Amino acid sequence: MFKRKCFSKFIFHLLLLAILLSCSPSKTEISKNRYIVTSPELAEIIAAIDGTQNIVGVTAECNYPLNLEQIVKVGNFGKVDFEKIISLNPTLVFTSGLEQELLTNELQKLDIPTAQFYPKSIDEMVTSIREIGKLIGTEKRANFVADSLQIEIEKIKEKPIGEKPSVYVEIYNNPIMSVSDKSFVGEVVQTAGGNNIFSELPREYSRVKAEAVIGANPEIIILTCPPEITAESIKNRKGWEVISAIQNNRIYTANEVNPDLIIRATPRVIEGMKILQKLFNEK
Amino acid sequence: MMFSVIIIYFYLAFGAENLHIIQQIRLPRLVLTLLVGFVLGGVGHSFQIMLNNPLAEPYILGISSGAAFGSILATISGMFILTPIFGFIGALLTMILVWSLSHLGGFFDKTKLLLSGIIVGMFFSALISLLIYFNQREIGNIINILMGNLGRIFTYNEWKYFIIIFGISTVLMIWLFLLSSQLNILTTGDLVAESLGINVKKLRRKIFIISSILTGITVAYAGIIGFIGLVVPHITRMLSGGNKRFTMILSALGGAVLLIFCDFIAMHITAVELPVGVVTAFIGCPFFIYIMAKNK
Repeated sequence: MFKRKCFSKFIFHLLLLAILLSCSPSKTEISKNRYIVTSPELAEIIAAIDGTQNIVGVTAECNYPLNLEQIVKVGNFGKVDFEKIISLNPTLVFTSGLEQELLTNELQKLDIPTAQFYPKSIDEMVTSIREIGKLIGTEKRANFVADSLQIEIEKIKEKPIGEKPSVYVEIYNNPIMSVSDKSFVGEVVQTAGGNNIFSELPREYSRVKAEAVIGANPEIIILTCPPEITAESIKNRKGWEVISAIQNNRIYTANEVNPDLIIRATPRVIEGMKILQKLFNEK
Repeated sequence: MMFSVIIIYFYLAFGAENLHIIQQIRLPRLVLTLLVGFVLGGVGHSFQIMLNNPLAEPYILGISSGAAFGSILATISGMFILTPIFGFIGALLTMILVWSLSHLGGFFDKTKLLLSGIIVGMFFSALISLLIYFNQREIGNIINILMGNLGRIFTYNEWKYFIIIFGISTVLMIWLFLLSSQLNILTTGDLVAESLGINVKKLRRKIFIISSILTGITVAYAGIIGFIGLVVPHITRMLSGGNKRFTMILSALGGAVLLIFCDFIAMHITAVELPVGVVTAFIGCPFFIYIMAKNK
């Protein structure tokens, strides 16, 4: 009897020791700034303003620039692993809007400092870049990037463009969904010299009717998602053959316009707008 | 009758800019809606009699969940064009599974069929939830399948196949109607029916297979549209009284008219189109209560 008691006491102490050991933070892990970025847009912005070396965790969608892919993954945009985030001991977690509103709340409950940025327009993006620069201490670089972005945007706006072509942007195929001028993509198309056929929609991203697309008769169709929807499949849609863009073969897919360049609010949008401007000016 | 002509006219013409849109977009949608309405009303009626259960509807034997699972699987794996085929295969596999489950233990009756159907349906629902959980990007597509969408955009090839499928479905519907006189005898009880020389088990199998194929087709093309199949047969029975011979046809017609009306509302009531499955319940519930109150 006594022996058994002694043994169980020993096991208990051993367990306690193990738990305590696993809890104590290893000293090498604590460095000055440790950021976790849950949105691909913000990861791109932080990388563009020289903050990559302090990022310790990203989500699976953060695929640009390529060196982010080696960083530890803490889940994906819609679903993160909280234990993983806690274990990485971040000093700041960068979150976005949409599904991530909830994530921001949850992180605050866990006493993890967060910074939420969800730029919905080009102006907001430029402001966000400056603010993020202040937060991570690369203010100089951030202001430089922001200033040069503004100059580039002005240049694009000034470029003479003939008649604005009407444009239909399809962001989803079933149900078909498009964007309004209030959305980021809508603003990008508008700035690059296109005339969005759905400038007014009840929401920024909204379901639209096939008959409305046919009625608006766009001169250009841009497909951003998903990749397996080809220009060919759009041409074969029943009743769509009367649309000008289909008759003149002006349907552009991910092969011509990388969707990330026009959907994500990042400095790369300049590249995207230049591509769009070129396509809009082709006759 | 007058009402259905008016509603079809409005369905085709309301807000349409020109003839091209009516012919190429609205007419195909009308054909799809008619088919789905016929099937839901007709199959709902047959199921309620075959299972001798007032709660029966075309989706109760799990076929819809299996078909939806197939469709969602096709969407998620990127084979978007194959969605109807996957949906139909899902329905067939579910049908075989349910039928063989209901024969476990060596004997078969309608309660076991009902239970097997519900269990298999629940299992596929769980699988669907799992797919949704891991594929939140495709949520728009999945909502279309789970809440119904008659605004499918056909390509020319898909349309050709659909016309063939429409023909096959019509033949199956007629067959189902021809069986309905035998089916009506089932309401007097299995024993009586057997004594009248009806092979009850064979009859149930036939109806189950035909109905499953029809339901599978509708889910594959239009997703799950609840309520029509449950309520329309009740309404027609209440309105038509004792004449059982034609209640199935009335059910099918009633299903089509109600669905066209609901889809019309879904298309036009808000700036953004609503899922038709939501509208059917919104319109159908008060209507059902009204009929019930009037027929007390």
